[in-house]
Amino acid sequence: MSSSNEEQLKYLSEAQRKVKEQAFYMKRAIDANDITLTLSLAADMLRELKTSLLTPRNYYELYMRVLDELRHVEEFFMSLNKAGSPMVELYERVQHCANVVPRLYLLIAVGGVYIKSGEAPAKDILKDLIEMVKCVQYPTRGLFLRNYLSQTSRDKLPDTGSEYEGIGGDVTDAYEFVLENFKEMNRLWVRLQHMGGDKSTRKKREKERQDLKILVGTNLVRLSQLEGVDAQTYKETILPNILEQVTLCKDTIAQGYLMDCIIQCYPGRLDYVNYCLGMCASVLSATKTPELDENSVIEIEELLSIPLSSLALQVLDLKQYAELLTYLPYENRRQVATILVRSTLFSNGKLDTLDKLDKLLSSITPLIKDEEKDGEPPASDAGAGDPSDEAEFVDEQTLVARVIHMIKSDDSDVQFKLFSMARKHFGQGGVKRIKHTLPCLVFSGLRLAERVKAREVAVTKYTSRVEKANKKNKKQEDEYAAACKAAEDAATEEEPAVMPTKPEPIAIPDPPPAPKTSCRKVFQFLHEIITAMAVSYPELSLKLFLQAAITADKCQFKAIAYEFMSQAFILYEDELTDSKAQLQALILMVGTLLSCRNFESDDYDSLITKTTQYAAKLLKKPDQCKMVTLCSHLFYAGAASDPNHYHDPKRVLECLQKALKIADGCMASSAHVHLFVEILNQYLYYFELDNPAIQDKYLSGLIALINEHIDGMDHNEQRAEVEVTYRNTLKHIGRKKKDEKTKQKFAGINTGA
Amino acid sequence: MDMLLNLAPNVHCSRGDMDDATLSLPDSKVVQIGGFKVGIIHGHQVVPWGSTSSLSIKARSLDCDILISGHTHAAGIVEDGGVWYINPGSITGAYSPTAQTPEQAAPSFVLLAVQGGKVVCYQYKYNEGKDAVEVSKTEFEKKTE
Repeated sequence: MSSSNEEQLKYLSEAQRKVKEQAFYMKRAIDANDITLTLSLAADMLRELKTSLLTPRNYYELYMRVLDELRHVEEFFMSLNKAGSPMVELYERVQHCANVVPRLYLLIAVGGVYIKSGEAPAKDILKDLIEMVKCVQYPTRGLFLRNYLSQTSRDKLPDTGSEYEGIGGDVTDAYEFVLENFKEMNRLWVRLQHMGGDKSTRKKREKERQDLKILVGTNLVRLSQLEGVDAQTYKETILPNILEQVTLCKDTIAQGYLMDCIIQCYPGRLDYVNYCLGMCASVLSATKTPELDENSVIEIEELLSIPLSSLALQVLDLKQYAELLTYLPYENRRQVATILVRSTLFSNGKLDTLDKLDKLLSSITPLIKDEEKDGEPPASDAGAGDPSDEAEFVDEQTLVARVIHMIKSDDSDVQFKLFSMARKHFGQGGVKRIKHTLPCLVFSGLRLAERVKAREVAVTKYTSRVEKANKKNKKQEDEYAAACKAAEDAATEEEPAVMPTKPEPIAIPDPPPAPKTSCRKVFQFLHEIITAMAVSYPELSLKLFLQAAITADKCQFKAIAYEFMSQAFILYEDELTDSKAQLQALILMVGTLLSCRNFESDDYDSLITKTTQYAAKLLKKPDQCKMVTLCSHLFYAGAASDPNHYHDPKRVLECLQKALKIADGCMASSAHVHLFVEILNQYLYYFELDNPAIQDKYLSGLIALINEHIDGMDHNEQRAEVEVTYRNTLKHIGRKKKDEKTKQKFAGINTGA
Repeated sequence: MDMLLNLAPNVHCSRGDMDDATLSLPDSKVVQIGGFKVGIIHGHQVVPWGSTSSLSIKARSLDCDILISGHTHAAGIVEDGGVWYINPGSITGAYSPTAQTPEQAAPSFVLLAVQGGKVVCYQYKYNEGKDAVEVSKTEFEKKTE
């Protein structure tokens, strides 16, 4: 190809050289005010545009060059006009030029000035020009010539409000002119594809056409800029005309590109966009071969993506959107779906009706479930293998999970229905997807539970308020009746009864609407989701059960909270075998139990007994020690001021003593000193909380024990760490010993210093 | 993670209870910034959750001057025994059962401007009622004993 490239450059530079030369003499002729010579030299220069040797890209270079020089001629014509020469004469004169291409360029140049001069109506000159340029049928030459016509006439159309309106014509003349030019240019552009050559040149042709598409598209921009075109005209006249061309040309590149243009010109107009998509869909359905080539797929994907940036969720209201989407292969639908979700999130879209949510979820099916192939079960290992695919898969599913955050209804009943719908869709996603989508739904569900609870509380409060008000009103009435009777009884002939004033009854406000979906039902829903995940993700389900327990406890559903806790415990016993996972789960179980303050005491007892047993059964001794220490908190839950507090000082001490014993057994790994220091800190914690079982003598003893063991440690990083923690602990005690408020309490602790 | 790295070249993280097991993150971390040792811990490991007394044990073992913890989604700044305990809250305001009130769960974050031995702590909190971000400022100095 390099030789042809070289040839191209040679042709181009030779042509440019000639243009430069002719232009030089032409400008001298202009300076000399010599019309005849100027026209002849300009024609010579313009003759270079007759070439068919250049590729469209190079032809464009030459065209731009020539146009630069042609400006001088235009200016010259203007000056002639100003000096009083009638343009009609010049308009006749340039038509004597022998060559068609130069003649038409000159005619357009004069035509522009002619319109400006006002000597003849704009519409007549435009009509004449658009007829004349039909002579050029060679695609590249024709396209550029018409582009020059389009540029020159741009500010001379008799559009509404323009200076050429009136005698010059009206907006109908304006848009008819642009439409006509568009039709012809589109025809030339499409024909470029069929300019001989075999299959090997097809790709090259397509490339060339992509380079030229903007020339055609400019006309659509022009149409959208016409002031006088109202929505009705556009819809009833212009758009059908454009779409007719789109349909007739039977060319996928053109169809895709023109649809893009239309949508880009009117991105905010739903009806237009829908109309375009509809046309596109009907063209596709009319085609007998449903197989789309690569290019059309890309174009349609683009077509469906463009309106998303401005319309986002509104595209779901477009009937044709979903239809057109079905023509795309799975992969491309997935891409469009990703953009759809992203732009919806970006535009802060709100999914508040079942219809909206269903439409969205149905449109993004490729993100929600695997492709269903005939006869084959859907593959459940989507995204497996390749790590980059895996990362993309996770990103995508995170995106889907964020859809849940867009579900926002002011009515908790609707919100519940929306979540149930999301649950159904997500449930089809398979094991790999639910890991990312369902937890998000659980948390949103918990939030909803609190909302419903607040409504239930409002209803209860209302009921008791009404009861109170009724009681009070009744009492008032009785008192009034009694007072009336007394007044009547006391009345005599001379002194008539003075009746008491009737008291105003307390107004009873309208009841708050009771939720149709109860808080209990929301918890049932969540129970089902978490249970569904347990088979594949026991650790995750355990964590979610714990979270659910906290919310249930907060909502005062003691039995439900207990049920969630026990489900977590069952998972711990049956599914968690890895010691690391066990440790992590236990930490959370302790934290959760401490956060739930409303359990029945029997329930709480059995839960903390179990937890402490689990802690003591951990495989590694240091883990056992740490967890038994942590479990001590379960016996000292809640502040003394909390009516639901649970304080068993002796059991706390027992836990710590047991932990010390286990730590003592860890000498081999020399982790014991570290554990001692940790336990000392826990003693200190309860001592400060005034746990009566934790006496200063235990602290003194433990400090002595640590002092004794720390010296025996090897000098290494581990020792340095323990020493820092220990020093900080002693510093803390030292501060408490100095502090006026705590001085007395801490006096009995012997730090050995 | 990529988003955070776009905000600042140095990102320090510790593991949370809901973080994916495939992310390799430490349980806690200490970073020296200016004259301060700043400890970072998610907080689910420290029970009762959010208790300053329990967190102080962590601060002693991490040997830090500032301890940053979260988990409860309830923002707060507390000084105790010369250590500052900072909970920046949740920047997204995501729901957490552990937050007691909706106000507590309001989106918030904290900026620490460290200059040598001085820190200015700015707390940003979104007030839904006013639809505005409220900023509060706390200053503290490192105590030398």
